[in-house]
Amino acid sequence: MAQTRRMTLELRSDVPQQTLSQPRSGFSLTIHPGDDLDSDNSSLTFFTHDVKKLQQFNQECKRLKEVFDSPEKAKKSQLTIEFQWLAPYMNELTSLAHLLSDIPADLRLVTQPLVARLSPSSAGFPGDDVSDVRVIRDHWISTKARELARKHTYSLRIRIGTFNVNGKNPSQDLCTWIRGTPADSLPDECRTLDEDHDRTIYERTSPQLIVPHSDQSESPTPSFSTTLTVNESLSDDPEAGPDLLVLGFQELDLSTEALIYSGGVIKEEAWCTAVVAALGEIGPQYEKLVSRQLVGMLIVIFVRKSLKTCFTDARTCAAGSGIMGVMGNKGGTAIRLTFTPKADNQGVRTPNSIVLTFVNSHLAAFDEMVDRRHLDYNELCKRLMFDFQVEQSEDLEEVVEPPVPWLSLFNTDALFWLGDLNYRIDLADSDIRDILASDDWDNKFEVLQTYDQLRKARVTGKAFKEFREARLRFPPTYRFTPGFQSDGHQYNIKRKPAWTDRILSYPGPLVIVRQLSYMSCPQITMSDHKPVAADFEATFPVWDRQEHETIVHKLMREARRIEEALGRTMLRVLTPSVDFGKVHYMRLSIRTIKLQNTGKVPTVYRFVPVHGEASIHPPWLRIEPMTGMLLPDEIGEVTFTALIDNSTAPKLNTAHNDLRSTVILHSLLGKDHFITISGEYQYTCFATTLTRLTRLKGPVRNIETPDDFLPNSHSINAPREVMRLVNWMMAGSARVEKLFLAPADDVYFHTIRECLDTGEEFPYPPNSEDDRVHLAFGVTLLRFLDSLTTPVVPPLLFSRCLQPTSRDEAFELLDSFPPSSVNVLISITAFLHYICRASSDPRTRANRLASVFAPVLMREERILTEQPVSLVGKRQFVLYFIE
Amino acid sequence: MSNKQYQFKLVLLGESAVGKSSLVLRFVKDQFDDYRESTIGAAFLTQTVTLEDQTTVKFEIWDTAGQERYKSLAPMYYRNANCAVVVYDITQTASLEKARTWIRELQRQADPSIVIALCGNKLDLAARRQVSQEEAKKYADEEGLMWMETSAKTGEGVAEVFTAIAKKLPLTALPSRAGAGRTAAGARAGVDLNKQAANHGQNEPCNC
Repeated sequence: MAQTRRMTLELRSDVPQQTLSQPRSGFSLTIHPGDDLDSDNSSLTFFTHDVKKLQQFNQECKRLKEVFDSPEKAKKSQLTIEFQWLAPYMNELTSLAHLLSDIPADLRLVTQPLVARLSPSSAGFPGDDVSDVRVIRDHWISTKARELARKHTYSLRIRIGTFNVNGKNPSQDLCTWIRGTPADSLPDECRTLDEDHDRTIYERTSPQLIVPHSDQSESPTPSFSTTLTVNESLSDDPEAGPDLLVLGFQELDLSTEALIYSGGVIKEEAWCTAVVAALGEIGPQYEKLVSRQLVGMLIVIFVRKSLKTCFTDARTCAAGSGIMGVMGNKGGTAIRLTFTPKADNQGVRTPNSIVLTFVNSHLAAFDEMVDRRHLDYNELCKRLMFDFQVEQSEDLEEVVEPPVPWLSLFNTDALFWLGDLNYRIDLADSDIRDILASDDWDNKFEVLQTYDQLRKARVTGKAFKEFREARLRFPPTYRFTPGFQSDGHQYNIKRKPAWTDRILSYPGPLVIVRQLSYMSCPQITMSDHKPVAADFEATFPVWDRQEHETIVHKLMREARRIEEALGRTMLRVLTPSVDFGKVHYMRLSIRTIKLQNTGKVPTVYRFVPVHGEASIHPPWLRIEPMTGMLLPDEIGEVTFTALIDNSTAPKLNTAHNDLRSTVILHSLLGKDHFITISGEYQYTCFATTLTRLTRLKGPVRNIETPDDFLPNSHSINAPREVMRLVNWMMAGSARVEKLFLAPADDVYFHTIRECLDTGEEFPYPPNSEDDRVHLAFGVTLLRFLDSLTTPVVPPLLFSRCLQPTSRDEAFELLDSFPPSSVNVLISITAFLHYICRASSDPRTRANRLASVFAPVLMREERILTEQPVSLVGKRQFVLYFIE
Repeated sequence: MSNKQYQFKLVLLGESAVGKSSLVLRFVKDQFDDYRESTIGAAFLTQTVTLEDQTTVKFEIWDTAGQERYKSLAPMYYRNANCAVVVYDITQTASLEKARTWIRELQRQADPSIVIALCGNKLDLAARRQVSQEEAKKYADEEGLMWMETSAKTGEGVAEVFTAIAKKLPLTALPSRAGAGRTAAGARAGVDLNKQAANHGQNEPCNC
């Protein structure tokens, strides 16, 4: 506006070539710029029929002139109020402030799918499209800016440990805890890591299934897919030690005085000395960076000296949640650090920073206090806040962001939570001990983990919902008799053994956190707990801040004018239909469609449900991405993935096999596009009921309609599918010792399953020399049993199944079973009996097989909410039939 | 000067290829394309009509797909609609049959106060007429519908349809649902004025 030296306003009425019912006259406003402008002297003409709008416009021009004449009026606050038309720009400023902010946005928000952050909307009822456009646009800018600005990546190696020391002084070498690597092995990323996948299986299918799975399909998907260019800091030598050593202690001081006068510095010093000693020859490379103690809880961070200057802005906080809900016998202490890599010669003069936050907590004790633990966690999430005073640089314009006096734990790029969380295992004490002591449970930790309270809390969302935890592959860490050298299985009789000591992570979109290990240290016997440790590698992109800022501004300019699309249909769906063809159970099919922005301004889209209560797509379908933005002429892709698993198959098995449906792609400020989905579901004998299978006229694939049944009186004795599997294995599988105990290749599984569904012959001879084929039959049977919508043994009878004390009594109980269940149970256990007899050690084999089959034949339906029936009891019941 | 503003939701229904999208295009942009692709989805447009007493009525128009396969989605668009324009093609008898089906459905399932207009399009092809004016008018009268014939191609009768609907709508109270949540409309005025400034980049002074 400063250039508006002198302008001429020319107002005249006009008679345009208008039609229809519009008023036949209008007004135009022409503005001639002053002579002294450098460029483009042509005048501007505005035309409108709407006199009122024109008056407003004229008024805004006058106000602008006023502002120009008296600059003190141009205070920003006034601008926002007085000049409505500035709104879109102010909104841009707000967006820019967020995009360039040093304070990471709340993890709980940014890790949600974008579509969940938009306003409610459905077919015919657009939501708040304007604000949604902004959310999607800002996301587009931030993602794109990261990609464009990224010069390389940086990886920090972080070792985290937690130890409830039970008031003891460091009397033992802590080396295994500080530097040790797990006994059983090498980091196996697929297994230790991506819990998310694991979690979905856990939620949807039967939680108890301990069928050996092939891990091939479980590879974790990183949050950004581009390859890592430089792995700057990571030394290949594992002996080099971590960059950051984060240790959490609980019960450092059990004296009552500690509770009242939270001093405790002496204890801290003693433990820190022990830690440095445990570091051994690399000890001198480290120094203490920051610590925070609250009564018995201490969190302390050691840093590699060479990186010390990179860690800045360390903030700590603490909150008690113990006696009266505030005392420090329970609670948490936390540390927040900013890490900025050093400037380098690869064009990064002022590198970006990331924020890492660590919480050490000690939650409520005792088995039955599980809800109290959830409460403690939720309270700590709220009450652990970092005091945050921004240093106001003098000419910083106070425009955009109100100063935030407190920062939550979640305003971070990655959050790590460690401590004595005190979660127990929801199984009878005798069950836990029996399983831990016995060699018959091949996956004993996995079995027990299913009943772990923390795991249940995460799945049900009661606590630690968004956190990830690697699988527990070490024995429970509580409770031992201090000083007693044990083999790790000799637990104190007063408490149920439990995994009380845990380490979890919660990375945001900027950081990829890989967990390299998760272990306990049975050799350290001074406390009633075992220490637990985990190694993480946090990798994040590095860019130059100035360059990043320039890119963000540039992208913001590119992303402008989306609003102009109002009412126009610029988004073209180049392929308006998606045909999956034949869709099989548990087999992924993927299709993509292309979208094009045919307009002259950017366009934004999202998928919306048909109506408010509906879901956006059928449950067996995934759409990625669910929101997006396209620049003019840009072509984008949307991927549709069909996967029918145990959660969706039961319904589809009893419905018509036509998978036709329509999904709605809404272009914001514009039209709804219909995309037709079609496919032909291939019925399967999996994920249904035994009764239904016994009433089928033939192979499930041959049925004409889903209710094409034999009359009840004509139903067959047992599903032919089970009989076919058992008969095949009867012929030659007994010699395979690992049958039912080892994983199998998915390819074989699908072939066998397809043969069961279609009634075709198996392409494998029963006398096959190939053990993999035999194992695949075993896995197929287990998966089949596990997929049943109700387990072979009716859940109502579980508790009665614990009563028999002999084989005869067990058999008597079968009178109460539905016929199809009896026949299946008998044929399977008879077969197991047969293969045990062929074994060199029938007893052991029977025990191990019973341990695998019991949780499947007697699958717990409501494992998340109810106290389960004794697992050892179930196993005994199954054992009566096998032995 | 009375300068009341009203906002109503209007939905277009009718068989595929009767010219629904063309009618809207003529009404909103005063344009016509000879070859338009079939609508797969539902387009949203707005247009304002000013009545003689200076009352302005803003239509939020949902132009829906006519193809049978998308029929199940139509209720999502006509629910809460204040008015519906059901279109047939005067050169296709079958399209009037289809229109009757739509009208029956609206009478059964839409808001009971909905104003329905039956509209015979393609008046420019009157030489090939199959549906007589008498027949359509009679049906409309029986059902208490408004009835008109239009040509999206020539523009004949198009504005009149919408103006007539605007007049017929009860203008006593602002309809509750229409426009709620669609702040887009409100923000638009601001954006148009800025268009010019935006071309010059944010940090530069504007030329006004």
